[in-house]
Amino acid sequence: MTEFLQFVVVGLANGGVYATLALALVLIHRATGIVNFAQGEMGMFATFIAWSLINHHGLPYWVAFFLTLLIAFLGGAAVHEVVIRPLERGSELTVVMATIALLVILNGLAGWIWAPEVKFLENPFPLKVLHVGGVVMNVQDLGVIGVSLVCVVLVFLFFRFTRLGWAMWATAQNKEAAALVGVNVPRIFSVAWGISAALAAAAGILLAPLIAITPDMGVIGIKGFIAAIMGGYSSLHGAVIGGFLLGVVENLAGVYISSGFKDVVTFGVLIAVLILRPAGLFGTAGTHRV
Amino acid sequence: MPLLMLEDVEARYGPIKALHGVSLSVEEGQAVSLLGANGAGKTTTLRAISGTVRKGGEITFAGRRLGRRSPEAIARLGIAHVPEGRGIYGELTVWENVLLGGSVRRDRRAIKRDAEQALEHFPRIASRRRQQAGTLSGGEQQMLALARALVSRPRLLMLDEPSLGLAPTAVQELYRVVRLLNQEEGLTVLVVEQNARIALASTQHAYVLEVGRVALQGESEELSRHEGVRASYLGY
Repeated sequence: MTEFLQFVVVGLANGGVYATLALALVLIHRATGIVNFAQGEMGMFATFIAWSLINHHGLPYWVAFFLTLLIAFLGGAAVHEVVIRPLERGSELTVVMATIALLVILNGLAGWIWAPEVKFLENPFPLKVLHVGGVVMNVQDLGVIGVSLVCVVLVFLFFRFTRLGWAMWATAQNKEAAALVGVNVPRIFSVAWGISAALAAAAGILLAPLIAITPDMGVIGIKGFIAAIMGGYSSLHGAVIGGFLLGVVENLAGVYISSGFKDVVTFGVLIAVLILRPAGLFGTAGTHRV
Repeated sequence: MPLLMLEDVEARYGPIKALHGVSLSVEEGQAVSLLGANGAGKTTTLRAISGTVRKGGEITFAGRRLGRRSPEAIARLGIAHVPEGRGIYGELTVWENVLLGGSVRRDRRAIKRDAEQALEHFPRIASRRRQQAGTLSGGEQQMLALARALVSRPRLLMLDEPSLGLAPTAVQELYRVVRLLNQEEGLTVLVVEQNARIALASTQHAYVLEVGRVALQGESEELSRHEGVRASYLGY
């Protein structure tokens, strides 16, 4: 049993990364109606920026962490202003294609700027273990879980307590009615892209010590998608729970079945969820008021 | 000069022309009804004013041409549009909905006070400010939408079919507040209605639209005695 709990904690650490990514995806989707296929690549790109800030500019880890989040926020908002906003009047497919184009561009850019060799980011948390009731927990895992939870909580507080957060939630529910009370909808969209990009950056940086930084680490975005879809793709807390759940299921499958079997189990669970609850675990079925 | 003036306003949805040159004006402090059958262009007229549909012709508000301004820019000029179906934010609380009405304003501190005042008009929802707005009844949602519009301190309040789908008592209560706002607080009101009886009883002036044009206009009292209006919209 203690061993089982140990594997759960390790899974939760991966889950924190997935949850943060899924939250980023759902946030953009709820706020602006767009499915952003470039989310993982945005995280990857930001991770390279963090790496540069630490290794080329000598910034301490946490300074680089927050600076990267800020850069990602501005970058996300800029992507909305420059790429997405001019296309918003077009069809949904146009915007989807644009995010896919963005995915490829970011991937290529990262390879071009940061050369092909593999990079590593230090782990900001000490390599120590804690014993809690017989369960051995790695401080590094707990750190990742903690930071991702902080990100999640900040997003929820933003929606709950700030005027901008309410305006964003209002816009998500009824764009036109929000504009009619004077909410600046394009600016709200830019902020949503910014927050989403910052979340993706946090996920990327948290993930970096666990794997190597390469332009291809953006494929982690797929895990974010799975988590978001399991959660219902419309529910913020669903995305978070979906993320942690995915991390745990994946890790347990890796340990108890076979590490090569991890993805089979994850996608199997995804399909099972979609068959049993097509709207996801926490989603509301497609009620769309016109 | 009237507060709001429409000159030869046209609007279309794709290939379908909804307004064929509507001209009307609303004086400061006046309450005006916009009547007409389904598809006459009443809602489109309001949408043209608030900038939620593309338009031709000229609309002037408080001496300024609205032109191609965005809906949020028009809202910031002092036009509050309560759309058909109310447009409340179902997942936010009553209080959050009302406060969001103040999005256009810069004087953040006064918003809460005005929100309290706006809710005072509607005791039925004032006592339930922490409730999710989506769980209110239709009439209560309409009241909430009106209260939210008031928090923007509009110079012009536009209501689109506020009586639609409401119980008769809710309609009476809503219009009692509209009359109070107009007659005692001097708020300018432009209301689109199917319920011609209550609209004419609550306004001073009225326009009747037919297929995207103004077919008839006059004092509300006069129009309520007009034979064509009586036959078509009042049903007696």
